[in-house]
Amino acid sequence: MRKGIPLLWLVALITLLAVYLIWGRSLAQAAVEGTAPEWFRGLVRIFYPRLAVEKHRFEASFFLRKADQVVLRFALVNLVLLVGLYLYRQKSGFREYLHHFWNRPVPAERIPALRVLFFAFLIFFSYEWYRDLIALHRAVAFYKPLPLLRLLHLDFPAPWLLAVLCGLLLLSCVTALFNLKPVLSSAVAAALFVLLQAFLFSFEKMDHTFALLTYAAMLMPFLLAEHRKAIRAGKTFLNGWPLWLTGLVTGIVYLQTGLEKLLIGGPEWLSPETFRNYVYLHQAPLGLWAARSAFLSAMLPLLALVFELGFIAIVFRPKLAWVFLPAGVLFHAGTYLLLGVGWYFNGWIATYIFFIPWERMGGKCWILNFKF
Amino acid sequence: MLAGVTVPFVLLNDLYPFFRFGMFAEPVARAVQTENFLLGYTDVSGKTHFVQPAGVGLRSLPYLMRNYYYRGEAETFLRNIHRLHPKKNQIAGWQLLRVTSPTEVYRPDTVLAGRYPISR
Repeated sequence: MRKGIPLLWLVALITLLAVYLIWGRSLAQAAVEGTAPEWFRGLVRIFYPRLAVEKHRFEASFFLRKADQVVLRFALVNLVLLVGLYLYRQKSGFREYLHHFWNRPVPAERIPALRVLFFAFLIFFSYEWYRDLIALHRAVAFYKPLPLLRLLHLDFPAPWLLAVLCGLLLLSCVTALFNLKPVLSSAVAAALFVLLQAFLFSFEKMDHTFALLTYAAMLMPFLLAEHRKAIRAGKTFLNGWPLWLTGLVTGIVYLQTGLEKLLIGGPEWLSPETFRNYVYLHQAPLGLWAARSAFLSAMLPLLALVFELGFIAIVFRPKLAWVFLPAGVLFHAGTYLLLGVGWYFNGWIATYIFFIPWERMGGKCWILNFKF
Repeated sequence: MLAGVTVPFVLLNDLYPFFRFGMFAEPVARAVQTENFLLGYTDVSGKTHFVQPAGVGLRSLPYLMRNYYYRGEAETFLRNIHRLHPKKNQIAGWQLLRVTSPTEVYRPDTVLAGRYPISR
């Protein structure tokens, strides 16, 4: 029976594709026209709330292409999983590689530097949130809570509560940084980092600046728990799965940014005209200078795409970090200078610390081994 | 975690705390029109002023203007803006303007998208 699972999965996938082509596509069209059944409109409201605005801005073909993309991507992800499952069952070498990948030990010496840097970055990137949230409190009439907040039945907090939450975030970051109850502190910091961003983004604008930091924050308590376990057992290495997962998630995110360009824009995305049009939209001085060069207009988008698609290689070949991490710094600085988006140093670059073998950097700093 | 990161990519939508990364993915056609919204008010002396996002403490103001306009709620938007503006007494009325122009040649076309007169 177990041998038949991949085959059943494949049959189910093909059936689903057929059902979409026969019935689902017309349902998507009906949703745009406002004639879809209520259950489907409810699903659209949950998963694609922007339709209410975008259907006035774009033609029906735009939404049909989006629906096609959802089905195509669902099929792609399932095919990758299917191939993975097949290889895992049939190829012992692949199975061993996977086990080795997740169970690679991490030197315990690496974690204190990671902990200090990570929570210092959380403080650095969130120190203005209290001021921003207080400003938003005045504009509470525009509050449209994200699904997560609706699920938790959370209204926009009163100023005193905002002060408590922001203070707690700062306190938990400081205690985690100084290794005081690091697992509990990092869990509280992660929960507050997610919660406070949810309030910030509940005014009809989602910001991706802290996306990678958010993912890393969610995994940090697990890494610190493994570290604590290893220290208590007197081991010099810890089970490294949270660190490898953080790296893999980072690699997947960059891969997704590249795939988005290929799947949505297609080969046309690489044309110099596309680059120039983005530059004209944003009007950054260096971008306008680069757009005058045919060579730069062709090379810069190509390099950006190669970087985004290739970044995940460092998850499997850590030595490539010395190529991709400096390239990433240039990539984000370039996005700022050419298109005026972001800043020189952003939350994405901050997560590169997870790819650096800090134990090899030498030198001891009192803060790394600080104990209350 | 891996499923959480993958689902927004498949659904082409943010599912906070998981994100979709579609910025700069769509090729921009040269002929495409840019669209901007302007928020302005007329003071009691009849002079018109334009409001910047920082002026009302809302970084998402451009998105809010666009979204409320397309949802047909421009007046609700202006009423809410009036409520949070610090100089209410000096304002005679609010206007939301929609400005469209081609990207290459700046030849804007401006239409009044919403109006909210203050009755005293």
